[in-house]
Amino acid sequence: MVKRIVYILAAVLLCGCEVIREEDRLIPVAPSGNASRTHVLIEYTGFLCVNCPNAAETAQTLIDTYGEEQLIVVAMHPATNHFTQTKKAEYDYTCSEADSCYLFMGGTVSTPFPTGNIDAVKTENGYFIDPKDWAAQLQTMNSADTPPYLEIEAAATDTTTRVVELTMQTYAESPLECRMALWLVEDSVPGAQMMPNGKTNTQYYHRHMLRSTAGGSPWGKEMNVEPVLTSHYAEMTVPEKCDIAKCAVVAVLMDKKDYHILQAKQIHLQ
Amino acid sequence: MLFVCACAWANDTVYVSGGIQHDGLLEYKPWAYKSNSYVDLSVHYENDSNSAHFRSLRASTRAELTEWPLPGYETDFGGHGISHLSIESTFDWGAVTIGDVYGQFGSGLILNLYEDRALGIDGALRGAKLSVTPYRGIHLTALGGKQRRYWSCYRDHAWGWNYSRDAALGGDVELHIEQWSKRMQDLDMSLTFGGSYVSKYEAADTIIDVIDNALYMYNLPRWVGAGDVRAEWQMKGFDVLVEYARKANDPGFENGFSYRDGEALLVSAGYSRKGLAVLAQIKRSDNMSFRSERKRTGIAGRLNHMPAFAQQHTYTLAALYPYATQYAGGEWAFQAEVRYTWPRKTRMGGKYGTTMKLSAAHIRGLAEPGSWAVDTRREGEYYTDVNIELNKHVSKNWWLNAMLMYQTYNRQIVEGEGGLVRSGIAVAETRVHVSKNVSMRGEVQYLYTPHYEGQWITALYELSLFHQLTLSGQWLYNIGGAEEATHEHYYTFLATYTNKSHRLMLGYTKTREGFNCSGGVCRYVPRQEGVVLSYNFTW
Repeated sequence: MVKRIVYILAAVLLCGCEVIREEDRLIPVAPSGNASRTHVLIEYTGFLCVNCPNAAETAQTLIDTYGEEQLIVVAMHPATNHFTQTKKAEYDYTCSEADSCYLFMGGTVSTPFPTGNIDAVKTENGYFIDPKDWAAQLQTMNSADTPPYLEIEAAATDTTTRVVELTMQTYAESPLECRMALWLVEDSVPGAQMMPNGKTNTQYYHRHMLRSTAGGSPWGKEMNVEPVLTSHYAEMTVPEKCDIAKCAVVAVLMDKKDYHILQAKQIHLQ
Repeated sequence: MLFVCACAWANDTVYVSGGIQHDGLLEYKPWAYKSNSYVDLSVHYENDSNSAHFRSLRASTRAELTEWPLPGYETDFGGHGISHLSIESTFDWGAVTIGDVYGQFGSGLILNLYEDRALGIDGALRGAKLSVTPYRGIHLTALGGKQRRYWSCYRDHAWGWNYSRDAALGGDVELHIEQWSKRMQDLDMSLTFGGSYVSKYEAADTIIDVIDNALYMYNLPRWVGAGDVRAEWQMKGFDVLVEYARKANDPGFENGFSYRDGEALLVSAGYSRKGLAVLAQIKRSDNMSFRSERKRTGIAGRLNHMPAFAQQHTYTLAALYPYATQYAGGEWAFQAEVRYTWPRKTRMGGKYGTTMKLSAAHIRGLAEPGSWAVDTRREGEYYTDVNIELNKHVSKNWWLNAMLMYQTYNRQIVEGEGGLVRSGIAVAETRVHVSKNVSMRGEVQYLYTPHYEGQWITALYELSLFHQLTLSGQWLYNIGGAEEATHEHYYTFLATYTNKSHRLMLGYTKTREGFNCSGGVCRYVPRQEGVVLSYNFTW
């Protein structure tokens, strides 16, 4: 009996340990892609989160790698998370639509930041994906399937009324029950951000910040995408706090039931 | 108190034990009731025959309802179902457990699986554990299984676990040398050598990083091993422990996919005799976070636990800025404590005795990852705590306790944001037994700091009646005097009724956001306000 036990213990103790040599640690990967499909990386961030600037850099390197035609980044500052909570109004970058999206995905006051999600898809670990996993997630989501067609155009924004007229065109090989949302994002917003060294940088430029949405919901309105090219018209008002020159509208086509993003396109207002 | 329902079954004993725990918070901004509930049940069978190899059998289970948990737990903490199932048999040669097993090898540097409900930790492995004593003085332990990681993220799997895709196996050997030496036994000396090895398996992941605008996939080790050796010597009140652990390449989210080996060294020396206890400890750790899942961050999925070399305070203001080991990638920690009791009927001891405790802890970062040098920079200081505590038994029914403390707390390391908070804290506590059935306790605490939220003051009054009912009230106020001062008042009023093994607590609380820590592991708890209800029952 004792002998047997010793053998079992020896087997346990001799279990493997794999040591990876330095030259074998990184394996080059070619970016996968579907030229007709644009993904949306929702980046959850907050000005109190010291590691969020690193995540913003990761997002930017992904845009540089895949190109804006295949990846749109939208940075959301949800009011529910403690990394965005501040008593200084000038540091408040939250918007209610960002919070709706965050709460839908199960975000809480203490969800660790930075985090994100690609195309509002829930993985086996939930909605939230660590920035270190964004690239891998993006690689796995690129399939050869033909996505619905989506294009967006914007007329010149009226600088007095700050209203922009938008035209979206959709097409699908077979009818799809969808929702279409229009997200207004502002790039390079100067403001405060806690940096990895623990200090506040008051000259930080926040990238791709969600400012508002058409209709006040991140999930937009229900619509059908038909096998004929169809035009849809909408208007959006650019909030006073936003610089029109830095704004863009992201048209997001998502599944009607689970809100998975099927296609997205972005148009810069200037 | 344990009420045992026992019955005789021939020469054997069968009994049932268990417990119910419910902690709830009724919030009214907006209205919501959040709670954590646990029901534990164990059936024990004990073989009372002295001649049999088989000694006992215990079947245990635990049901949890944390669908709408108390604030501050991790996103996937919420759920419900049977979280624990195990059958443990003991024999004259050892014990076997099948099901959910906990365990610790040495000081836990490479394996420490435990449950801490306050933090939301349940590190059980669903597998098996074997402990044997094949020869006098030799203890062997082996265990293995898949680690629990809260509940399934998908509600349709709510009654199961969402196991991580990993397995962990480990073995531990302890040799108690004194059991083979008559001379050592005569000298009242003990010498123990121990060694452990833990190996975790995890299927390959696709982790892609962008380096210089090119995509690279990490070649990740599927098997990661960690070893630990230790020696402990004890003689006539002296106790010396030296322990060293090393972990092979274990790239993961927490260490930024570093392939560097991790290591930890722990040296502890102590002496105690009647009225005097002295303890000195040193620890160096680097890249020793050991998880069953490489993509996991936060509290769940830890295989080991780095002991905290910082005193765990119970006074509110002394615990306002607690140190957490889990966030430091590497650290040097130094801790010392002297406790002395002046005997009764001496000048300092008075009629009933006086106890003094002097304690110091200083924790700094490593000069650079993997280095043995201490980070001497200002921001390299993670935590410092120097305190002196005096406990005086003034009269038969009156006790006094006073503490003075200096603390440095690095918010950047523990909370991930902010700078150093240097503070001075003073505490005075008194406890009086007014009569056989009435006792009172009061506390006043003050914290001074020019940093972060500035100064704090708190007062607490507690009245105990008939050993069953306790009424307490606490006021906490941020006086300010610093940039991020809130000047807010916080209150807690509680009524606690205890009857035999029942304990019911009801009250109102408005608490600040902060960290709830235990043993160096901390959980962020948001600001709370509402009615608290807690019920505990063990049988």
